[in-house]
Amino acid sequence: MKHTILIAAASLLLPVSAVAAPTPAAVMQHYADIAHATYSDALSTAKTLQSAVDQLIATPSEATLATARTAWVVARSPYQQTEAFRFGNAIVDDWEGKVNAWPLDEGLIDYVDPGYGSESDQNPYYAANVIANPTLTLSGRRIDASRIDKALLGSTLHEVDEIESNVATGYHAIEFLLWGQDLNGTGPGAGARPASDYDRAHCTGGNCDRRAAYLKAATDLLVDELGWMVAQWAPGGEARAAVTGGAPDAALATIFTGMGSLSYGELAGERMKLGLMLHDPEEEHDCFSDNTARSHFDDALGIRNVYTGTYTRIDGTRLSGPSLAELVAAQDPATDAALRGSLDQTLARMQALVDSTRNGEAYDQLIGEGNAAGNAKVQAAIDALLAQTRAIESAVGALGLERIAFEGSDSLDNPRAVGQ
Amino acid sequence: MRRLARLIHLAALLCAGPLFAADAPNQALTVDHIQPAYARLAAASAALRARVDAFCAAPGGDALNAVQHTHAPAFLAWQGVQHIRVGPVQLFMREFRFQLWPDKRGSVGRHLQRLIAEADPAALAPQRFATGSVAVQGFSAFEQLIHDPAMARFDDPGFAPRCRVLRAIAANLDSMAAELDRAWRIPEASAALAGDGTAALVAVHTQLERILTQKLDLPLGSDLAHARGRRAEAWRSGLSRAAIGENLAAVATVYRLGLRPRLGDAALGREIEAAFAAAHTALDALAMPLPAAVADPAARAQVEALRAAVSQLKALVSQRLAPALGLSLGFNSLDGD
Repeated sequence: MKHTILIAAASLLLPVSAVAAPTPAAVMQHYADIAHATYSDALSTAKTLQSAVDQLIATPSEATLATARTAWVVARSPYQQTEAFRFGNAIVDDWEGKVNAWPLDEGLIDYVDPGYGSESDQNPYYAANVIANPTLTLSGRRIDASRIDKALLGSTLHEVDEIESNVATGYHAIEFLLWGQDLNGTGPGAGARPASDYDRAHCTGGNCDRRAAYLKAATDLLVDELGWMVAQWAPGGEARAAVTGGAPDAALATIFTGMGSLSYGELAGERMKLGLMLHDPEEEHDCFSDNTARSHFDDALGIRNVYTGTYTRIDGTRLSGPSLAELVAAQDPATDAALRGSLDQTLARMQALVDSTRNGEAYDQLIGEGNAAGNAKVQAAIDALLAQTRAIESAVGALGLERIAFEGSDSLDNPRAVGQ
Repeated sequence: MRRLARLIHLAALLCAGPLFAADAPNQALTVDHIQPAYARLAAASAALRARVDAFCAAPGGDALNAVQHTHAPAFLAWQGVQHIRVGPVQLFMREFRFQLWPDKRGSVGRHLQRLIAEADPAALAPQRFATGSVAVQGFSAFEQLIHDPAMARFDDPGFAPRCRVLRAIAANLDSMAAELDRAWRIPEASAALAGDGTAALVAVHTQLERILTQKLDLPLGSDLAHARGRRAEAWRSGLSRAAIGENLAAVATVYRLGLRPRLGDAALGREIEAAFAAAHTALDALAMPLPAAVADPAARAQVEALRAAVSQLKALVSQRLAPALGLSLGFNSLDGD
């Protein structure tokens, strides 16, 4: 019964049996168009965040802080949908750490609760607190942080000492500066940084001017970086050229690689399963704002977008065009229907997490130890992602792209380059 | 509970029938590799648990040494099955409860500290312990505890709660190892292996990837100045190199039992054997323990040579062996950050 509905729904969307499948070139052109539109929305919403941050710094109040937080949440949604472009497109994967590095040792940036601890054998900068310290002397190195600007954050501090948790820039650094630490463990509540942390006249937390400078520089950097990435996907851009200029099979495999790697190793594994196994809110993706469920939902939505060739823009405009789904359906309608069903199923499971958050039980509570029902909801979403990965693999097989999609990453000629 | 398990086994037997009859390579893989490897883990884990119980009952330097010495064979037995990512080890998060590594966020230390400080006996009851944080349950936590100087302060008031945690970990490892050993002994166990060799292929490829990107690249860093010996697996107990040796030997066995019999191309078979031999030679050539070697200008080159040899082997597996067998690797669980 369920199958009948899925197939019926698929055939409503896709009367492909009668229509010729699109060319791979048309699919890739449209894929690049969706990338461009999604990054453009990420950029425009980040600019709104930038104005809100300027307002917060100019007139700190609970109202301007709330506006900035809302702007961050709105900006996060299109960005998360771009994550389906990350794996497979080297230009995106090499860059994404500048905007979405996670998890972070937030003690690098600002004051933290004593429960955070003061040192880590993994990271000498664990509690460096740049906002409070104009000069840092760590592991025999002296860093002049007297002037907090984009260069200090982006070039000097970000991933300093090759330690990935030294995250000085991007969405999560900004999130921490807007919300502060979530000290509620697996209980209800998000970070509760007061607006007075930015009030030079009645400063809480110390160094309000430096904190404001940090927030401003981090937000400006985010806007710069997103602007750069939009240009890469614009006509004549390098990312667009890479997927539209080369061999069609390799280009189609790029889409699958992005879908499968995000579904499996990254989202199901690194971001969801690990946190569930540790029952640790520190492992929650948007841990300061409690926006995690929404971020995971948007990742899953982005994966469906690139498969179905659709994207609903921030202004409500709907993009639709030649899709990978049509190519798969032309080869094997059942495989296409199964994959569509899997993608929808994952979104339904993610929606359950979003609904739970809205109803007062956020993601960090769902993964808490002893919360069997909550754990099961998260596990259901993970299981849906694993099923989706298998369905993506079948679709790869239907187009005969296994070798490029799964085995292309190992180089026989240049072994040292592998895994770096 | 045990009776229920028997019923489930019986049900599996009845339903399975000839459907689950494994092909010859998978049968060999089960009987000659997986079953003995889990039996070894079960025996070594039982021995470790006994040593820990004796140590905590009568603490002393010799007893602590005995624990440390018994830890090595148990940990290496785990390394001999680490590549098996199908079947019962996938249930109840056992894979990660045996060992959470790499531990980029220092969760093991953080969660251990909290558990010891809370000193709540209820948190150590087997059922509750097994469903709590995976970080405190396995070899990573065990190793941190037995090499922590506090473990040798036998008269300290903090000693007893530490020893209780140590005993909980050893008991947890022992019971998981015993469960896996039992689960692989039922006749249908090899059904966990896909009938066509895919499971064996993925096991070999993923483990080689893990050696490269985690066991070698994490301590190597991008250059000598960024070498980080403490990012090596099991650096505290000096077992980093031996662990890789166990892994390579195990995947070679998987290849020989589960994949080579399916391979028609004898020349490729010889190339793969040569690549395994080259990787072993490179490992044997390491002049000092891995955590020190990555930070030593001369020895670092030997680690890089090992890396190149493993990389070459992995590329042969994915680009030559997989197509020759007509198998597909699928997405890799290690993809991502």
